[in-house]
Amino acid sequence: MSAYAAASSLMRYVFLALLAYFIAVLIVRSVSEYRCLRAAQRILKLSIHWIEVLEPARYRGRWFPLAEDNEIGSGADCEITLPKSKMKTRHARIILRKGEYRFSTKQKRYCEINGQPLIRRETPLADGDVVWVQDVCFVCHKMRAEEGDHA
Amino acid sequence: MHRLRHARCAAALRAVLFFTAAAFLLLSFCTESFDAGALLLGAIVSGVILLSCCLLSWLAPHADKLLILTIFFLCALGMVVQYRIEPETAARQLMMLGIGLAAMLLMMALMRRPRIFRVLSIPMALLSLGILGALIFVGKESGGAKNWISVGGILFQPSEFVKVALVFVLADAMTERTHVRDLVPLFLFVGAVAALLVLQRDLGAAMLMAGTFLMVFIVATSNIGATLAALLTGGAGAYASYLLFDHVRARIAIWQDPWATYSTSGYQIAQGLMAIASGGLWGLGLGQGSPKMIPAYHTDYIFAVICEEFGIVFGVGVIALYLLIVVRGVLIALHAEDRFSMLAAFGATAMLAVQTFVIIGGVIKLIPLTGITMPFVSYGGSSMIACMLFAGILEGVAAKSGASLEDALARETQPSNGKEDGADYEADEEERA
Repeated sequence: MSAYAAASSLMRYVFLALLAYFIAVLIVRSVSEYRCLRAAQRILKLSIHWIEVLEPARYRGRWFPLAEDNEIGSGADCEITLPKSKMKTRHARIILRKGEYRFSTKQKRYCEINGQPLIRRETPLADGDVVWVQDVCFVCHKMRAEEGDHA
Repeated sequence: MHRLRHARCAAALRAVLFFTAAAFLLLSFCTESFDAGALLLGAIVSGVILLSCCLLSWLAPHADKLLILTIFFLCALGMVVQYRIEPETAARQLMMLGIGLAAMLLMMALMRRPRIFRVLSIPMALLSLGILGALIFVGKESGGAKNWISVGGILFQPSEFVKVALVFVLADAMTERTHVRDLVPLFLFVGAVAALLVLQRDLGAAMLMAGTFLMVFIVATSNIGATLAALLTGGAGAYASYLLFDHVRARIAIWQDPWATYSTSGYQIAQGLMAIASGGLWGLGLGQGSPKMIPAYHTDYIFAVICEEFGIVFGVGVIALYLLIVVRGVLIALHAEDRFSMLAAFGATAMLAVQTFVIIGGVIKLIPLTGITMPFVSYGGSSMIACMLFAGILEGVAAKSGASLEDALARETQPSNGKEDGADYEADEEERA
């Protein structure tokens, strides 16, 4: 067997290994990219992405983007933190569950959504819903209004 | 900004470049004296691939890089096999790849404004019919089909460009109309195109057009009854052509038993099958086979050459690459911004899928053999440019939808001033105090 024939016989396995590696990379990356695209589309389908604080007056006009799990309270470690309000350190939560944001709290007494008291453990939120928690009032938005619009 | 089409492609790009470099390096020792031409061609092909990837990332950050790398792998494989058989064809194919890449970039730019193709849909349909009709009278015969035309000394196959036109005509016709009654002119157009191709004896292209039409039709209308009826009509047409035309009957007979006519018409299929069998699972090794024993070794039968020298397992891997192109094409169509782009992307994917199925199925004797090229691998300028135009459609749709989706995400989930109000809350509080 000539040297070229030996090299060629060996290289066919190298070529095969390269092709297999290339296909494996393609599959892994494709799955990861597809998941990312699906997650982005799920986010776009959500009815709300922001909350805008209306009361108390000192916090009026503050916008908070919603993450997957959002603690609301006066504590500094909350995602939506309003320290000088009458809320407890961790008063309520807005959590993403089954493709929608839901409001939940253990302190139902001074809470209402669109003027209605809370009945269920978790209440789904929609664009334009007005939520009162103690002395804090906020409204849910799908899109953030531009500075001029808001004024 | 967070990238949606974020996949890191460096690993895949390295694999393509390494494959190209290793194969051409091996080929440079294939002849008795050292062949510097192989190394030079390998370097040029690697450079073209690298440059194209960089250019694509710069021009269209949301383009599907994994798709283009898969296409480059197939192009590099085709170039390696062609150089191994005839170095001159590989050099010509490299030139065609360059033209094809330019055509792809142009198509990507045009796909940003799909309206252009919607406006041009009817002229494209009429031009396609005119060219195919004229070919019956002025076409040059090659390989049994009268589908070549010579312009200024350059031979090309107009049916390859009719395939691209057909994708746009189908997408335009079914963007707003989904009822069978409204699509009668489209049925007539596809029927006329298929009939003209059968008259030119270009059965592969006729099968390709009809298959793509059926796939786009069922996706656009979800009308299973009409699709079955169209399938039956197509089947009846195929049977009628079997009864009417001698060359169709001959093709079926060869497919059923190529060994009966081994010394005459069955020679090609039989040689192809013997080449695949002699390669075995792992192949004979690059440069160790006898590809010139197979007729049309660098065009229709290139898959048999790949199987002979690289092995059947490698051949299955090549089929997997085509499957990945189809999967990524369908995903691009699913995420398309508008219905026309979705149908155009799906049509391009269907065309590539049917073409691959028809030629590989023909080579391995799964279906009757018809003379069409293997996308991105076979030698052929018209075919390479047409396939690159399909890639351009897919990349254009992916780039546009990716950019729009990311803009929408940024608009809805990121603060307009780049900062969250809540984030600088503490600083504000201190300021107020």
